[in-house]
Amino acid sequence: MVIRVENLTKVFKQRKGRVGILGAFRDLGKREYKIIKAVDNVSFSIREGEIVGYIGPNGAGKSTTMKMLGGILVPTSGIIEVNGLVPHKNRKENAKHIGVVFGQRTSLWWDIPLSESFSLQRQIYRIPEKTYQENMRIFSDILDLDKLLHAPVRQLSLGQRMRADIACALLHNPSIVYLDEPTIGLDVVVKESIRTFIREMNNLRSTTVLLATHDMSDVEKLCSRVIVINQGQIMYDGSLDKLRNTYGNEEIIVLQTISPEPVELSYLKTIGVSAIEQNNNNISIRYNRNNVNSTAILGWLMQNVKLVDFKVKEAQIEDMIRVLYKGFSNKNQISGN
Amino acid sequence: MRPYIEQLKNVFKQEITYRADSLLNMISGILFLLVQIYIWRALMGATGQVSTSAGVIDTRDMATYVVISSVISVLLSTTIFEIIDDRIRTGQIAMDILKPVNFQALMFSTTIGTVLRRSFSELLPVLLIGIIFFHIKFPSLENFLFFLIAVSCSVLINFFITYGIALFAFWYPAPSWHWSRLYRDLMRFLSGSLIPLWFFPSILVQLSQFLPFKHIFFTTISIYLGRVDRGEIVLILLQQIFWIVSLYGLAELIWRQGIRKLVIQGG
Repeated sequence: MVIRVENLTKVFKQRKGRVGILGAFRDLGKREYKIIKAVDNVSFSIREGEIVGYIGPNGAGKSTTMKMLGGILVPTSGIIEVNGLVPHKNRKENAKHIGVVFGQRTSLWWDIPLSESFSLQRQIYRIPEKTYQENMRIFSDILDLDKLLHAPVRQLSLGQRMRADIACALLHNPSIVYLDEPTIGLDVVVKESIRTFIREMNNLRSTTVLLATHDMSDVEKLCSRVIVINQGQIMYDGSLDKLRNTYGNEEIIVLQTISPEPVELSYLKTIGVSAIEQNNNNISIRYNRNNVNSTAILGWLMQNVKLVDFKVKEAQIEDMIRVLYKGFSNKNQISGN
Repeated sequence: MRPYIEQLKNVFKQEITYRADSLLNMISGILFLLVQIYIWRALMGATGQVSTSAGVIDTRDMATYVVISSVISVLLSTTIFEIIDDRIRTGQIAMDILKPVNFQALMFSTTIGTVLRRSFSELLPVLLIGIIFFHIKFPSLENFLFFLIAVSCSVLINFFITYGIALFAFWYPAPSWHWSRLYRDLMRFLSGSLIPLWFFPSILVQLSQFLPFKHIFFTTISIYLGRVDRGEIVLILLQQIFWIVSLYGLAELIWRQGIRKLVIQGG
């Protein structure tokens, strides 16, 4: 196990600003605090060479976990071990073996050519000449960096900069890489080249990757395992396939009716449909394949409603995750291992 | 050492790209120099000299004082206040401490990079104008060597104070430039960078004994001008070293507390 996390909890004290002028004055005196559990009793371990997708809505605790793994945030309680080290107690030593990319930040120098940022990185991590040359060759091949090296970073597009940032973070062959939304705001082509790069590094050097993302195609294309977190708690930890099998049975039928008048559809609820939305001519019906099949629903609709068109849509990962986010409290947390 | 040298080189290269900035700084530096010299000439009147607590000072002494003071000003250039303040407030500091480098050393090499760059565009012109048009005095070789040591200490004292103040940003949600402004103005005044301590009322001279500021400009320039003897020079250097060590310790303490806050409260 290269990463071991047990009962990890991080509690933040957030200042509550009181409302209004009177409130502002009262804030000058005694302040009120709100306790926020950003990460709540989280446990998981990751083997060498795994690519794990870490997914959850904004504010779920993904970045907080990553910061604790990086050693720049001290846990309130629980155990973390990365390569046998406790990150926040051995921050510098830990830093030598990890690579970190926060999609919203850059560690590149803005006004000078990109190559200068790389050479600084090389000195900071004491990368041997041979490794450096080799990596530059491989990275340039996959990420197409050649043309960018001599341009000042401020002139690069977001996609070019992100490619450069990721290359920079992996230049020293880190054994573990934490990627926090590395494909945010990028176009499909750049996303694809970044995914190829992550996969290649994983193949070539057995790099362990923890990938926090909102982009489900990142997860589908890279990760065999996913950890779903919401409100600081793990909701699912297991293979992507199992997630799909368990929660992927949701389907949606989208209908268009002739007249915009509301239609009485309550019968559908009695046969097992989970949600109905009606909006003028458009109706969408959500159901689980395990409870009711599409023919039963459509059969009834054909007889009772005048339809123009209909579509049956299979659940996307996004939908499964939404089901997870909504449907699970901490009591029925499940494990897919 | 290598990462810090690389950092220094990058800062140097980065500053070179700001050409308009350098040019404007050069022009304003020269203008400020001329203004000061002519004000002192006007103040000293027809005799061109004035007697002070440190003996008789003539216009050439004052011109030398002003030129050397301008030179030291350039050597004190640093952008770390803005850099650190910005990094802490935006959370970018997390990326810095995620690297196996010493942040303070990184900031110091940043400062030296800036100083080297500005030495070309801002220090040299001022020095040349001083030599050619105002015939500034030259020190003895011995005094010059002591001056070099003292001026290095000035840079360090100024660095540690600036660095320490910049770290206030850990506790300060708003941009804390007013702290830096307060320091710069106070330092400019109490260090004797504009008015030598010879002309200070005794209460301010007394006060300056307890502060590090005069060791940034006044005592250093006094060494250059040969206004202090060997014994006094050694005493000045010892005091400078005392301030460097204390301020280094203080800055380190602030850094540790700041990082502690960052890693516990998440910035």
